[in-house]
Amino acid sequence: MNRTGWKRQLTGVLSFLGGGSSTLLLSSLGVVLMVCVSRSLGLWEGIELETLDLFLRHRPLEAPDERITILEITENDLQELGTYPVPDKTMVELLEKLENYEPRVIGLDIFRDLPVINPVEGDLERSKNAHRELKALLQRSAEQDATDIVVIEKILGTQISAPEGISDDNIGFADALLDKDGFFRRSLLASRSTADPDNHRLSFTIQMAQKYLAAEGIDLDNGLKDPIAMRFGQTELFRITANSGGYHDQDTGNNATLLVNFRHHQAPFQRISLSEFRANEFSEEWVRDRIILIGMTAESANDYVNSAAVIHTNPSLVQGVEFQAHAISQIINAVLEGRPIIKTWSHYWEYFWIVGSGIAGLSLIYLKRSISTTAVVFIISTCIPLVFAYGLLLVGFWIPAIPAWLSYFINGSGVLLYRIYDYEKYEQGRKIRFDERQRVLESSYNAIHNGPLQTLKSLIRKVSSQQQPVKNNGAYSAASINFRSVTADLHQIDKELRNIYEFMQREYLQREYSAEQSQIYLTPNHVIELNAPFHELLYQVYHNKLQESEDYFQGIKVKISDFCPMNEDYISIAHKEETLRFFEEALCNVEQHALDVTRLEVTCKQEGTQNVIRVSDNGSRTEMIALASGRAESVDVLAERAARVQEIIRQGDGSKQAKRLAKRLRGQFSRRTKFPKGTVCELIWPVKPTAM
Amino acid sequence: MENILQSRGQQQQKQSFFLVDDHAAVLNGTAMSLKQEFPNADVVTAKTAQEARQKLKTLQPDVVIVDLSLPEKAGETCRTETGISLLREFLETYSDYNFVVQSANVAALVRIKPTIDAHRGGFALVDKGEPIAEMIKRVSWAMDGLVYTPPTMRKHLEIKSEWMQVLELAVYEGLNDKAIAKRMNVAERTVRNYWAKLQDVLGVYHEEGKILRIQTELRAREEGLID
Repeated sequence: MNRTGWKRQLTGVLSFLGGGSSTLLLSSLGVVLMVCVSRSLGLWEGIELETLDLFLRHRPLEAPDERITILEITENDLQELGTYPVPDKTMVELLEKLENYEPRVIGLDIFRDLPVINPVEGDLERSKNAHRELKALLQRSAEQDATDIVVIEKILGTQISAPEGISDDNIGFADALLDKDGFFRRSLLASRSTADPDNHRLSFTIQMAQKYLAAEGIDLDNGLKDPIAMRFGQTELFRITANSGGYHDQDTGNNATLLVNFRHHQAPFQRISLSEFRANEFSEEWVRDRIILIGMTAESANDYVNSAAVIHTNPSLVQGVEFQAHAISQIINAVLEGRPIIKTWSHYWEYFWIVGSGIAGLSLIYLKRSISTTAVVFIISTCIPLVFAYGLLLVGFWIPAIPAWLSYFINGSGVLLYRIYDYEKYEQGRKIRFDERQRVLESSYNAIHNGPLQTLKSLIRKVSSQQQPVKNNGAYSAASINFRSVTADLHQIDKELRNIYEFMQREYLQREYSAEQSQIYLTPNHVIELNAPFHELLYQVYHNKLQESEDYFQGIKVKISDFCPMNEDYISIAHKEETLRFFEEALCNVEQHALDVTRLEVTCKQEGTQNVIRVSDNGSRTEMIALASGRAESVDVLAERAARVQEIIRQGDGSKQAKRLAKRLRGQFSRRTKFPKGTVCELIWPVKPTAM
Repeated sequence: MENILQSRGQQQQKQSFFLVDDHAAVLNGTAMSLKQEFPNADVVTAKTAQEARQKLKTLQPDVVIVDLSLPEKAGETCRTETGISLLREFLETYSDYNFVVQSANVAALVRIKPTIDAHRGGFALVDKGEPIAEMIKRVSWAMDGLVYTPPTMRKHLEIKSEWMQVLELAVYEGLNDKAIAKRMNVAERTVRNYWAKLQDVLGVYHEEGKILRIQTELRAREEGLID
């Protein structure tokens, strides 16, 4: 059972591959391939990074981080100080006061390699003293019981060193890596100095996090899954390489970088300005046991970076100190709170996901619903890849959203277009099948009408005409009926009826399989080779009819026939066949409906620019006699009249068919009565299909 | 037999015959019989439809005698269809030549009856089963421009309107062929062809001591063609 199910599935797939939809399959494979190749060439990098920013900006809000406070030196503070840079003396005072509130770590995100000459103090020596004082304070912080103060240095490109004499443990570099589009998304955790490649340095971010977490008993270590990556306890800081995720060939300086998972809040960190701090306008909790980041936020200090992933009045500008805060916050919250570190998939999984989306789009073909339903399903489902990518980002995975979406979208729309195209083709096919069925019906009707029904009618006529005199004598007797002839007729009907099936089979099955049809079966017993000239074919029909109804036609004394070559350049085989049947029908009608015919004229020839088929008799119409025969006297007469009326209706059918044929030939059909008696049945059509 | 032929003085002339048949035996037999009857006769033969077409182009025989069962080319099988096509083509192309069709399959000829009816020369049919004397008789009829088709083909007295017109003009108005030709605007020869066709339909053939035209009129009355 299972195996047959499988087989059916397989043949389904194979027929899908081999069928008309193979174009669809090929083009969709092409689309997916193109998406993958262009992505590997980096053409999608910009869009993917923008999508990442967009997703990050539209995450649910997070609570502000209560582990970090930014002590900012604002433009106002600078105005108040009346000098820039901030004098060393002020720094010393600030740091000393801060230490009293016992923060866990202080980070000084301001370069202090050189003494600041304070014009207010006016004295170079005093300024130098203040700088010495600051250095001493910073050096002291490395001691066991003192508050850790981490200062910054710059190690990439232009070097800016930390104040002299400070232990390496308390120095972190402030360099950051810019993405190619000029935005900051990554935080550099460790690097070699440009000036001294052997010197392996740690960043300000990692130093701050390390100091903070050391107090929790969590130390920095190498990664377990990725030995080059850094790890705090169970939390590995996922290393972003040059080609991770949507990145393509980004500069990483061959160092550990971390994708910054910005904290999503309007004011993610508590801020205290220098003047507020000096005026004690702050809560003690904001400082105690926290990370205090001292940095410049004054616009004139120009410490800004570009980032598009944070909420901000000017979203692309983020203060340098805030960027550092985000990076530190991300690490310590990941370690302590389990907040996600942003990771990427391996390329195999990424491309699997893109191809999978394409296949999902393609699989809409299996949705056996109406086109409109499919369209609705498609439109709604197009957001699935995006929602999925967004959802994964919330739990810390950055996956290609737009490429996957595109391969889903294009394949889905391809399926939709294919369905529409297929539907139209189906409709066309239905029309053809309908026409074919119509033809089968018509020709089976013809076969019955021209075959057994004729015999039946002549039998009825025979029987009823033999009954007539008997009735007139007032005595009923069946003796006058020639039983032998009736039996022969019945046998004939039986034979003809049986032949119809065979005839229909030959007619339609053979037609299906023979490209060039060379013969038709006019009646079950009469084969006509169609490659002969048309007038000869018509003659054969005539001759055949005369042979078939020999008794009747022998009775017609004058039979004038004229079969001359006709122009048949513009008449199709199918139309020829129909015309032959029409002609036969016309001859049948003479036999069926005309009485006392003495002259029959049959013309089949080209007259000028027209082809003419004309059958003309001089008999009276049976139905006229029937209708004019006065009042009904017996049940038999009534029945007979009913039969005649039936006949008239039938003949009406024949006319309808003839009219249809005339229309197809762009000609005319007419059946008219002659004076003083007789009927002319005529089919005329132009030699050339278009009237000239 | 002798009488008929002699009375027409055919022995004095030099006749020519074109024989088409795929059987060498039949060809020889027929040719021999013809030579016996017409000692001065030229007899040209062809064995395939293709050969017949080629040869007839350059010949002007008094009578063309064809078999219906013929191969298209040497080595191919004999088909009635090929013979019918060839005959149709000959009747149309050489419309005043005299033809005799030699065949056992008379029914096949019915198919091209309209073409036979339209043919202006003599036309006679002879079944291969009939005695050789009968064949010679038909050949001479055809040579005279007469028409003979077997009874199965003329069972129904099918006539063309032109033939009817000739009959009516002759019987009702007493016109001779020349006058009829003038009235109908055709050649006198055509009128004679129409008579031949009519006679065939009515089954009136040359009989010693009988006037053909009178016989024809009598038969036409009998059949009800004229009152």
